[in-house]
Amino acid sequence: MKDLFSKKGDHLAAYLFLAPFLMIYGMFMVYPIIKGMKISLSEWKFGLDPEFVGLKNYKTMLSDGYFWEALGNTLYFVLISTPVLIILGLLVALIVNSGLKGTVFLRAGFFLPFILSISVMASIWVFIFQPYTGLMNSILQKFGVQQEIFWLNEPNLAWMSILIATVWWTLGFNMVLFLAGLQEIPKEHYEAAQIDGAGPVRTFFSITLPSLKNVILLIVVLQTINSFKLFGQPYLMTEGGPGSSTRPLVQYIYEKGFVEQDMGVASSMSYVLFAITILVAIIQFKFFTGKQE
Amino acid sequence: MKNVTVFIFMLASTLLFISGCSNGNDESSEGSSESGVTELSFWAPFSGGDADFMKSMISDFNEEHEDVEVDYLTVTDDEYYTKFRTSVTSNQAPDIAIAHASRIAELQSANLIESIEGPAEEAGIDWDTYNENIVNATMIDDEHYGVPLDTHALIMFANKTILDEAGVLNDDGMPEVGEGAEGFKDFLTQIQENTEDDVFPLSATSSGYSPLRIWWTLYSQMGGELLNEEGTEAAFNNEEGLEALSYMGSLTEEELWPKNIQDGGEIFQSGNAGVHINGVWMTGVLEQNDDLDFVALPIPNMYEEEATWGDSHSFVLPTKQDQADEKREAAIQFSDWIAENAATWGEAGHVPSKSSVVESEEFQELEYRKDYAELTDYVSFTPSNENITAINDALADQLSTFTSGQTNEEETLEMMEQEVNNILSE
Repeated sequence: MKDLFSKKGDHLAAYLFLAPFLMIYGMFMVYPIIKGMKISLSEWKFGLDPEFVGLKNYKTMLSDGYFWEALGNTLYFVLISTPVLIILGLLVALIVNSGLKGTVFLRAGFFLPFILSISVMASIWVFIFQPYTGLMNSILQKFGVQQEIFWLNEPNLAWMSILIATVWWTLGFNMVLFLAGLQEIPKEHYEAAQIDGAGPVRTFFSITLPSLKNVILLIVVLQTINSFKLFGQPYLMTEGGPGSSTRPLVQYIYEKGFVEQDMGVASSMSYVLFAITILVAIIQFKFFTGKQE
Repeated sequence: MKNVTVFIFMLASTLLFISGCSNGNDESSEGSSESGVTELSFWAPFSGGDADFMKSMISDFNEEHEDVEVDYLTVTDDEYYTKFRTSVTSNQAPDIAIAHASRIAELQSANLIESIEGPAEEAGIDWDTYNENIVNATMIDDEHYGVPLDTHALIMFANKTILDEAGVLNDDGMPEVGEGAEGFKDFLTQIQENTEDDVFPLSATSSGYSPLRIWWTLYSQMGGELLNEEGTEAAFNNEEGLEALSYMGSLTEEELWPKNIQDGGEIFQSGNAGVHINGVWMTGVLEQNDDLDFVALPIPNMYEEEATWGDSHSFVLPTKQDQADEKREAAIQFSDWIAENAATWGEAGHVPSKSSVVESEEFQELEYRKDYAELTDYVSFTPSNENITAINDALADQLSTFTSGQTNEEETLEMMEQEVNNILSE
């Protein structure tokens, strides 16, 4: 860092190149973050002037049962979705990387859903899961299931449906990252292992997994953050229902802010989410890098 | 292969950036130009058929008026009010916009719309030409805040083929519904017993706003009020509120209204339901299916008085400090002209707000619409309250939970009351 200031002239060009980015970053990231903090300390409706109220919004938030429910829902989703998406992502990447026939097709097939917009994806899955006329129940009925299953209207099944839809939708991205990691591993390591007589399971745990360490860290962090940001899937598939049992924190923030028009409380909840996400990311970094001596 | 990762990240961030910036198009249609033409920007949350009818009415208006040019922008339904709010706060508001009558109190309390008393007087609006019941829904403390265009209410659609099969269709081709709540239930039971197993006697959507609208209709038919007179407390935790809920619950329990219907309209449109309850806007959708032989009628009176849930699309003036008075006046004139020529609007299913339009030949010639046009006189609007959206959403949530069978009626009513009181006490 000292370098930058001692030889300022040399770095002028660099700063000039950075300027557009810094400006936009400041305008769309730094400024809103500071402004959001200010809003979280005031009572504010669109159209009226904000009024400073100190920590009142945070108090309201902490005594709101729905806030805790929504936070619990988000954490629940992080817990169920992150491992599934990572393990399945790795599995799929291994299949696609195996060099079998048709892997090009598979690779495209797994990745394609990721390019769909969330509304399209949600519509497809609502069509599949809806009762009476949905694809899933029609198929199950062909196999002799008599009872109508309410995939989107029973809390546990609704979570399952959201999870399935999310996995189908975003698995491809994790697969591509793993795939990139897998292809980075030098062939020589595998050859050496083969010569030493290691079986495929041993090779996987002693060579593949350790070599993927950095990729895994990246994916774990990205995936956790993504799961924390859950909003569109329940909003479009179950409307957060039945009742509020699948309403994640981000949806509740949206409803508080834009439906109830309580921007202050909505901002304070955003800060809680922000803090938790950062905390989790830091812990994950520490955990992974700590092991690397 | 590392390049792939880098490339994806770059692509993703570029896309994010582009989509974040796409809302930055300025509204450069500033004021009246030198040629003496007043330009008005107009926003409405219409989609599909509604948008097409509105566009054609506007182009008629523009052709007929050389000194005024209306520029119409459809804003998507979901984000309409969010955009409305942000546009007013950032001084980008349109000159005239559509708002639901139920939202007027909320918009007015946040200072997002202006009173139209002055401009309406200048423009010479004759309020007597409008249906009184609808106009009242657009007023706050005896002051006009909106020019109503229509009312869209909850009505009943019935499939004649299925009704005939069940033997509940009379010689005039109208459903034979018995007296009161029990009569309606018997009617549905007849359909259930005398048709195939996969026919839904009643298909109304079980989540979202649909259960709330049905509950509100039943409760209003008993003369119920949502809030106390001051608008400070819930006033529906009573016998009538409970009766309306129990009735809905009994329909679900007896599988006359099967549980958890995701899209009741779709089931009715494909000819698998005897009766469907939804807004008048479904008329325009359903008539596109030539194989469907149906009638559209007001919801039968099941209790003491005729009533049904409804709302109204109304023209409002978004708050604009530096707005020229001529523009306000022109905007109101435009609104009145559209209301006057709203027979086209009737094609979308809505009932026009002016009685002269409803009586006009053009409207009367439309199929289905005149059968339910009477409801303008008894449509029951939700009360004028600045927190009405939050209240409606909370009620809708509780009622959806109830219709999915997760809570009983007493609990639901308690929760509804508690939620509403929470919102009102904030």
